Amino acid sequence: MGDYKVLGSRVPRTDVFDKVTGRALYTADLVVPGMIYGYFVRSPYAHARIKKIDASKALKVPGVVTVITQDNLSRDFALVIEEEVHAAQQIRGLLAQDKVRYHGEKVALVGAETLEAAKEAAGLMEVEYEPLPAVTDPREAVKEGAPLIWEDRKPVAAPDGSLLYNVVDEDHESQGDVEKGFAESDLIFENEYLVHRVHQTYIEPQAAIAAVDETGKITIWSSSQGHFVIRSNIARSLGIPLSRIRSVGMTIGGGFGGKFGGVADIYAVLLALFTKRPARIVYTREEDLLDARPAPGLYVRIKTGVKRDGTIVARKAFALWNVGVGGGALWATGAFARLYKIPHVQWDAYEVATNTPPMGAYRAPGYPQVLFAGETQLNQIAAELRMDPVELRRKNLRDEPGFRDTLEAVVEKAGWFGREKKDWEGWGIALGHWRNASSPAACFVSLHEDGTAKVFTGLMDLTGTETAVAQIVAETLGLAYENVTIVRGDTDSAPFSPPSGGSTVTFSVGNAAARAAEDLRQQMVRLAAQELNVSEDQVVLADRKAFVKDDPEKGLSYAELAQASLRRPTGPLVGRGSFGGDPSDTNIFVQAVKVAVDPQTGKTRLLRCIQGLDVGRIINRTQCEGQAEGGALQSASWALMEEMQYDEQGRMINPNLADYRIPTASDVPEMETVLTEFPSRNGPYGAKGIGEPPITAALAAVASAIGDATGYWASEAPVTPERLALALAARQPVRAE
Amino acid sequence: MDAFDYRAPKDLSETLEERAHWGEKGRLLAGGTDLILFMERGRLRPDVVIEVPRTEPFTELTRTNGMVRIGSRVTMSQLEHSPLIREHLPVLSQSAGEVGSVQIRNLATIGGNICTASPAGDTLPALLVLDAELIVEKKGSKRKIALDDFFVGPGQTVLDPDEVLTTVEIPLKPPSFSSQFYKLAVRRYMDIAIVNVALAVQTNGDGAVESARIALGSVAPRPIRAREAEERLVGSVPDATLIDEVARLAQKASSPITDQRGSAEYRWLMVYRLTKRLLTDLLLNSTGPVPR
Repeated sequence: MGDYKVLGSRVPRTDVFDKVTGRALYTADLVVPGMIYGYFVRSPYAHARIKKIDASKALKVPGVVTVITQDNLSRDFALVIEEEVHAAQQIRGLLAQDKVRYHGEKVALVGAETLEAAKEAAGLMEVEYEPLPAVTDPREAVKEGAPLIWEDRKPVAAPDGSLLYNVVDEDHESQGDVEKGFAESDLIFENEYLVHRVHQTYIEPQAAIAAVDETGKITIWSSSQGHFVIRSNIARSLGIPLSRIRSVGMTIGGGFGGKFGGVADIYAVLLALFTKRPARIVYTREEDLLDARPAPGLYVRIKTGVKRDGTIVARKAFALWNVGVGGGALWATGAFARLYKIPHVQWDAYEVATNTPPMGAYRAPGYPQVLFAGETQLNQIAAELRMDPVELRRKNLRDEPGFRDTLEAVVEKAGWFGREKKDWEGWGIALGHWRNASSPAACFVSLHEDGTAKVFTGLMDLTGTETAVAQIVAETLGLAYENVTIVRGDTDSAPFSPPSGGSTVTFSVGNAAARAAEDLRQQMVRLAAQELNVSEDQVVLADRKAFVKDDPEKGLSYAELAQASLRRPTGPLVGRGSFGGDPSDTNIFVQAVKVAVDPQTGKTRLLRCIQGLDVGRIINRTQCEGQAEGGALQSASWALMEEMQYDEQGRMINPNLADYRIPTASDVPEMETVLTEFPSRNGPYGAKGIGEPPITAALAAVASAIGDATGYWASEAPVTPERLALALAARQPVRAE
Repeated sequence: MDAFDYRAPKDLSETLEERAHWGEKGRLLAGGTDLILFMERGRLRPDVVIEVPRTEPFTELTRTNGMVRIGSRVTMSQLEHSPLIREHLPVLSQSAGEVGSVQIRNLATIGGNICTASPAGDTLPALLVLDAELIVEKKGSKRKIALDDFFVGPGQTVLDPDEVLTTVEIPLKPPSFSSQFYKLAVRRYMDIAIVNVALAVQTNGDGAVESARIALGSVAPRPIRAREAEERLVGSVPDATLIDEVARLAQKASSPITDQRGSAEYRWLMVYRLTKRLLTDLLLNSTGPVPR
C-alpha cells in the first residue's frame, strides 16, 4: 500500500480557504436583482381539519406580491421527493388542503418585497381549523381507536393476528426457520427498544432561490446534497421538462441526508413561476426543526435465541417505524442481523404514520436505530451469560474481510481486556456497518498548458469529497495535489453526478474520476511517445514529467506536453470517465466507549471514545479520521441528548437549538480512531464509502456502557439525565447518597 | 423582527430621559442576548430600543465601603474573570461562568440577567444567597430594592417602565462565609438549567451555622429562597440527619412544573439531592466546588 504519493496523505481540503475566510457562497448569501421573499403559513396544530383559508387581509399588506394556497394550484401538482439513498418516493400535495397532519405543516406561501412584509402577511392569514386528536408515538398509532392520519387506510394484520392501524407500508423477511431456531436455543431473550425521532441538525438551514427567465427557463440555486436530484424532483413535481431547469448547487452547510430536496426548492420555483420574479426561501431554525425531513423513530422488539456458549441461533424482530407523514424506512430493518452468522432470522416491519413531519434520510438511514436495539441486546445477553461482549462477537462474527481485524484493532487500542473502571464508570462496545451506495457518475479531466489539471464534475461536496477526487486524479496522473482543481458544474454544465448520500461519492465519482484520469493519462502517453520519438511502452509519467524509461534525462514537462497537444491534429488533452455503479463491499465500524455516570443526577459523561473503521483504502487520513469521529459523536449524541419532543396535542415543544440539543466541544472527550484498509473490490484504489458507518454503533455502545456502570439497561434513546436518574431511583436506593 | 427606533443615550441622565419619554413603548438593551431573541420571535415588540450606555455607573466594578458595586452593564465574562469577584464573591463568578457560551458571556450583562427575570437565570440564585440589592433610578428619584423583592413572575419584575437598573450592590462577606453553586443541565455549556442551586452559610468557631441562604432556580415561577430550610439550619451544628431534613425543606419550598427541559418529578427529586449534596460538601466535607 505504501507506493502512493498523494493517497493516504493529510492534504488540506480544497474548500478550506473559502470557508475559513468567509468567501464561500451559501444560498442565503445570494442576492438576485428583483428578488422577492417567501414565507410559509404553518399549521399550529398537529392534526386538524381546515375549514376555511382567507387570504384577503394578508393580500392587503403593502409589499405582498402573492399568496399561494393549494386551491390556487393546478390539481396536477404533486410533491415528489426522490431520495436515491432510499430508492423511495414520497408523494404529497404541496400545501395542506383539507387537513393538516403535523405541527408546522405548510398551509400557504406568501411572497413579498421584504421578509418583514411576508411575515406580517403570514400572520394575517385567516385559517379556520377544527382540531383533531393527534398521535406521535407509533406504539399508540397502531392501536384501534387511534387518530387516523390517512383516513382511507385500512388496518393490516400483524403476525399475531391483531390489527395494526395507520400502517403505510410493511416488509416481512425470513431466512431459515426462526421458530425451529428458538426451539434449539438454550436461552431466549426478548427486549424492546425505542428511539425517538431526531433531526440532522445541519448548521445551515434549508434554503433555495429560484428565477424564471423570459423563455421560461428556470434556474434554482439551493443548499442541496445533489443538484441533479433537485432538478428531477422539480421536473416531476411541476411537470417541467428537465432541459428547462438549471439546478445550481451552492456551498452547503451540512445535510446528513436531510437535503435531497422538496423542503424549500420546489416552493421557490412555484413562487417564481407565479410572480415572474426571482424568489427566495430561507428557513429559520425553528421552521427547519418543525418541517424538514428528520429521521424516522423506531419501536422494535427483538427476540434472540442463543446456546449457552454464546452461539446465536435465531433472531427475530418486530419493528414499527415512526415515519411521520412520509415513508421509506423499511429497508434498514434487517441491519440487526447482517454482521453475524445466524442460521435463523426473521423480521416483520411496518411503517406507521403519525402526526409528525415526513421522514427523510439521516446518515446511514435507519441503521443507528436498528443497531441500537440489536447491539444493546447482544451486550445484555453477554452480561447474562457472564461472557465478555467482545468474546460473544468473536464467536458469532461473519468471516468477511476486515470484520475481525477491525474489531481486534479497537480491542487493542482501547486496552479492552485490561480495562479499568471506578465506581459508576462503565465500558460499552458495539458494532455497526454499511455498504456504500454505488451510483452512475461521469466526469472529465483536462490537462492545461501550465501542466495542471482540472476536473469537471457535478459532485456536491459535503464532507471533503472534492479533496478525495482531486487526490485520486493527482495520484493517477502523477501530479501534485495542488496541481488539480475541481470545477463544480451545474446541471447544464456538468456530466451526471449522483447526490451525495449513502457514502456514494468517493466511491462512484472517485471511480469516474479515476477512469477519466486514466483516459487522459493514456492520451498523454501517446502524445509523449510521438513528441519524444519513442514507443509508448518507453514513456513514463511521474512527478509532472513525461520521460523515456531508458533515458530519463530525455522528457517533457506536463506543461510542454499540454502545449504540444494544441499543435497536434488530436487536439487538447481531455479524459472522459463514466462509472455505471458496480457494487462495493461492506465496511465494519467498531465503537468502544467509557462513561462516568452521576447516579444522583443521571448525567452521563463520555470519558473515552475509541472507534475503528475499515475504509478500504485511505485517500485522505485526516478526513477518514474526521468521518469516524464525527459519526461516533453524532451517534453518542443520539444516545445522550437528541430527541424531537412532542406534547399531548402533538405539538413540537423543542423546535430550537437550546432545547433540541447537540453536543458542544465541551461535551466531547479526545477521540481515538483506528483505520483499517480492506479494499473494496470495485472501489477507486480499493476505497470504500465511509460517511455512514461511523454513526451506526455509538448508540448501543453508550447505552451499554451506562448498563455496565449502573446495571440499568436503557431501552429508550436518548438516555437523558432525567430518564436515567428516575430509572435508577425507581429501581433501588442510590448508593453513596 | 418588527421595525423599531434605536436610541443611544450617552450617559445616565440621558438614559433616564429616554426611559421617561418612551415608557412602555421602550425597552432597554444591554447585551441583547435575550432581548434580540425575544424580538425576533415576536415575544416583545418595542417601538424603541434604548441602549444602556457603556459609561459609569453602568460599567462600575468596584469595592467600596464594605460593598462590591457592580454596574448593570458589567458582562458575565467580566464577572467570571474579575479578580475582585473571584476573590470576594466566587459563587457569582462561578454562576456567571455557567451562562451560555464564551460569545454570549462576552455580551450578556448582569443587569440583563436580572431584568429578564427568567426563573432559570443562572446568576440569580447566586445573587440571592449573596443578599444583593439593586439600585434603581428614574428621572428625579432613586430607590433600593432587595433582589428577593424584585421578581414577580417569569419575565416580570417590580421595575416601572420609566426606571433603570443602574447598580447591583453586594455586601462583602466575612472569612467564615462559604458558598456553592450547581447548575444542572444536559450539556456542559450552552444550555438552560433544569435546576439551579446556590447555597451560602456562615459558621462560628464551634461549627454552628450562624446564617444560611439557600436559593433555587427553575423550580418556581421565579428564582426563590428556601427560607424554612435556611431557618432550620441556623443555630445548629449540622450533621447528615439535619442536612437531609434541610434538603427536604428546600424541596418543599419549590413548585416545579413539567416542561421540555424536565418533568416536575425530576426537578423535585433534584432539588432534594443537589441541596443535600452541596450542603454536605460545604458543611461536612469542604472539598471545594462540586464538579459538574
